Amino acid sequence: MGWYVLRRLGGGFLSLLLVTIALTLMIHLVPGDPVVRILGPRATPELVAAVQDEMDLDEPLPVQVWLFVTGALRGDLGNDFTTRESVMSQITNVLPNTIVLAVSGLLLAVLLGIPLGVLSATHPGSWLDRVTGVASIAFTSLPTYVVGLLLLLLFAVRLDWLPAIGSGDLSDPVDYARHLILPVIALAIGWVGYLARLMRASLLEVLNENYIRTARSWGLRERTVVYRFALKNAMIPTVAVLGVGLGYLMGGAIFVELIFTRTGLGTLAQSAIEDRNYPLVRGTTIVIAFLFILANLIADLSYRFLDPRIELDESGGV
Amino acid sequence: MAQPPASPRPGRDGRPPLPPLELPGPHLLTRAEFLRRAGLLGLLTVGGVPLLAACTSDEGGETGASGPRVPTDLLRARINDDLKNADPGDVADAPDGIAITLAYENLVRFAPDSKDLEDWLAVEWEPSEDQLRWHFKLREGVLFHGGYGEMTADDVKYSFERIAGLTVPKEVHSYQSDWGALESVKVDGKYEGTVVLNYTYAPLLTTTVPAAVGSIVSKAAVADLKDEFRVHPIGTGPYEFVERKPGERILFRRFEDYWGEPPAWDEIELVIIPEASATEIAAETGEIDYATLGLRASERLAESGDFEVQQHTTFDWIWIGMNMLHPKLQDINVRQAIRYAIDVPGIITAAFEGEGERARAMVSSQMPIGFWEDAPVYEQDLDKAREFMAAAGVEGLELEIATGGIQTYQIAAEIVQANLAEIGITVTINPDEAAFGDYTGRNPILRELELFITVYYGAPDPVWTTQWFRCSQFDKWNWMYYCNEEYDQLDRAATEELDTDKRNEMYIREQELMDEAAVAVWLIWPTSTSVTRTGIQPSFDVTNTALLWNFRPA
Repeated sequence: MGWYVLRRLGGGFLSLLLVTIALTLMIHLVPGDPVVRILGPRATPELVAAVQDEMDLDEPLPVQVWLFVTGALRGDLGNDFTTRESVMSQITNVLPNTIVLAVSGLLLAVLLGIPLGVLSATHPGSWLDRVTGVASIAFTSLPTYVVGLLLLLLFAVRLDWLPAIGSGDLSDPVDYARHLILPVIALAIGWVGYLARLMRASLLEVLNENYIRTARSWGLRERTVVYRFALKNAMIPTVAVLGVGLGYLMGGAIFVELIFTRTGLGTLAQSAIEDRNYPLVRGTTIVIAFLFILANLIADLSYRFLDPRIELDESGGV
Repeated sequence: MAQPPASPRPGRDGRPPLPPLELPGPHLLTRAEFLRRAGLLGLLTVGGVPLLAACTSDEGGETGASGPRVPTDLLRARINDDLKNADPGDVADAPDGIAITLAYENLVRFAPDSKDLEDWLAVEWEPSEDQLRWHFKLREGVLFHGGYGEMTADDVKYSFERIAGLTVPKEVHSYQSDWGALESVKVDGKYEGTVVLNYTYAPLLTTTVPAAVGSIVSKAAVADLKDEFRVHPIGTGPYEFVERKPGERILFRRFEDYWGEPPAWDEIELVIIPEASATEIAAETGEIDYATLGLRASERLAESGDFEVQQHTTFDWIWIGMNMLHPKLQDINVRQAIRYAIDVPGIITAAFEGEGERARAMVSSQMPIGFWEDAPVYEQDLDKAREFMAAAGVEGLELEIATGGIQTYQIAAEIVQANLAEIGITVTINPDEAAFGDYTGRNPILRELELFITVYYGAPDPVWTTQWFRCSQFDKWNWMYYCNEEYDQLDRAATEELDTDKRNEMYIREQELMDEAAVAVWLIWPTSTSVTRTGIQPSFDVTNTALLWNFRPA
C-alpha cells in the first residue's frame, strides 16, 4: 500500500514537473521578442531590459527552467509584471472562490444526483424512473454556458431574485450564498444527471446480486434491503467517480466564473491571457494543473480504499 | 463545461459485496434516519437557501430596473479589466485611465465635455516668449489623499521629472517620451515653479500637461507605497481610493478634503466585468449605472428606457494599408486600382455595423487641429479601377491581406476579397495574429506584408497620428513603407510649431501628400459607445474617457 501511494505521488509530481517545464518553454514559442510583445509599442529599451531581467528571460533556457521549477517548489511563482504583485498571492486570493464553487457544485450534484438515481432504481419502469431518466439525460447534455445564461435571464433579469455578477462578500455569508447559488446550479446540473444515471445503473445491478436475493428471502423489508445492504455497494463506483469529478468541476468552475463574472482562477487566467501577462498565465496554469492532478490522485487513492481487491495487485495499479 | 468522465472508474462487475454495515448504537442515528435527514438537508440547500436568500434580499427594490434611480450614495461603472497600472507614467489600459481621472488632477486640463483648456491646479500657467519656459503658480491648500499633506511645487517637479527619467535614482516609465522635451522643473517657491523645455513642443498642452502623464502625484506617497502605488492611486482628485478587490471591483470615496466643488456621489465603484454579454445583464439587473458597450447592446438597453446611449467619434483610425515596398504594390496604378475597387461603405456596414464615421484621411474629424475637411472621398468605381489595372499592365495579380486575427477585420477582408476579384486581383486572407510581428516591428516580417487591415490609436494631438509614417519608422510602425521627404520635414516641424493655424496647414499638407501616393484606403474613425442609467447626466473628457467624478443626477 505504501509503495502504491508513493508511486502515485511520484507520478503526480512528475506530471506537474513536465507541466512546469512546458510552461517555461511556452513563451519562447511566441514569435518576436516576448517582452516587447508583452509591454507594447511604447516600452523603452530600459523597461524591456528590466522586465527581461525580472522574468529571467536574459538567462539561458536551462537556467530559466531551473529557476522557475525551484521557485515553484518554494511556492514562488514570480511577480505580475504590471502590478508587481506576487503571482502566488494573487492566486491564493481568488483560489478559495474557485474551490468553494467546485466543492459546492460537487455537493449539490451528490445531494440531488444520488437520491434521483436511487429513486429511479427502486422504481424501475415507473413514470418517476422515466421522468428522472429524461431529466438526467437533459441535464447531462446541457452545456454549462447555456444553463448559466438561462439561469441569469430567469432568476437575475426576469425575477430579480439573485445577483447576476460578482462573487459576493465572504464576510457576509448571506450575500456570499446569494452570489453562489446560480453558478453552483450551472456547474452542477450536468453532474446531477450523470450521477443519477450512474447511481441508477449501479444500484440496479447490485439489487440483482445473490446476497440481495438472499436478504429478501429472509423476509427483510425492502427499505432495509435497499438502504442497508445494497446502497453501500452501489455507491462504490459513484464515490470513486467523485474524486475525478472534483477535478472536472474545477475546470468547469473556470468557465462558470467567466459567465457569472466571479473572481476566481478562471477570471484571473482569462485576464492574464488577454494582457499577455505571462507570469500570471504560467502561475494560474500550474495551479490548475496541480489541482487536477491532486483530484485525480485522491480519486485513485479513494478508489483503492473502497475496493480492497486492488490490494492484491501492487504492481498493476488501478 | 465540466464534462463528466466517459466512464466510471474501473468496473464493478463480479465485485464481492462488502461486509454488512454494522448498525450504530441506540443513541446514534440509524442509517435510514441519516439518509432521510441528509435528504432533507439537501432539499434545504437546493431549495431553501435560494428562497431564504431571495426573501432576505434587500437589493431587489433598490437596484431593480424599474425606473430612473438617482440616489447619490453609490455610482457603479463597468470596467472591462482590473487595475493593472494606474501610475500616471505607465497607464496600462482604459480602466487605469478611469481610475486616474478620479484620483489625479493636472496643472491645466481640458474642461469636462469640452476641448477648451483651463487652469486647474495651477492658478497661473504662463509661457515665456520662446515658449521654452512655462511658469506656474499653484492653488494653495490643495491636499493629497491619505494624509500625504499639501501639494507643493516640489510635488510638481517630482511628478514630471520622474516620468522623464530625470530623478535620482532614475525611474523607468513607459511614457517617458511624452516628457522627452523636458529639461527640468525649477522650483521657485512652495507654490511656484517653471517647467523648462529643451525645445518647443507643441503637444505639451494637448497630450502632456493635461493628460495622464501630467498628473500631479505625491512624492511622499510614491516613496511610501513603492510598487503598491500602481494600484493604489494617491492624488488630489475629487475621489480617493478606498479598496481594490482583485478581479471584482475598485472602490473610491468622495475626498472630504477636496478643494473644489464636491462631486455628486458618495462613492464610486468600478465593477470589473470583462464580457459584454455579462455587462448587458448586469445593466438590466441594476448592478451597474454606466458602461461602455457595443452599439447594438447599448440600443437594446436603451429600448427599456432605463438607459441612454452616448456615442463619440474617437481619434483612432482603421484602414487598409498597402506596402509600397512590396514589388506587387510598387506601381501606383495598382494601388489606385485597389483604392477605387474597394467598397468602403459596404465594409463599414457589414464589418463595423455602422459604428463609426467614414474616414477620409488619417486625422479624425474630432481632432482639434489637422482634420482635412476637404479630403477626397473615393467611392467604389470598378471601371476606373480596371483602367488603372490596364495602365499598370498587370494580370493575374495575387495579393495577401493580413488581419492580425481580428474577427471584424476578417469580415472586412472578405469584402475586399470580393471587391478585388472584380478587377482580376485574387486575394487570400491571412488571419495569423503574428502577421504584424511583435507589434513594434523590428523584424523583417513587416516588409513581407502586402495588404493589411489595422487600427492605430490616436490622442488629441495630430502628432500621435502622423509621426508613424515618417521614413524613420520603417520596420517599426510605418507598415506601408511610405517615405516622403516633405512629409517628414513637415511632421518634425509641426511638432515644434506653436502657431495652431500653421500646424493645422502642415498636417493637412501631410495628408495630401499621402493621398497622392495612394498608399491607403481609409475605412473608419470608430465610435466609442456607452450607456448611462436614465436620470444620470454623464460627462466625458476630450479623449472620450468617462469623467465619473463629474456625473450628476439629471
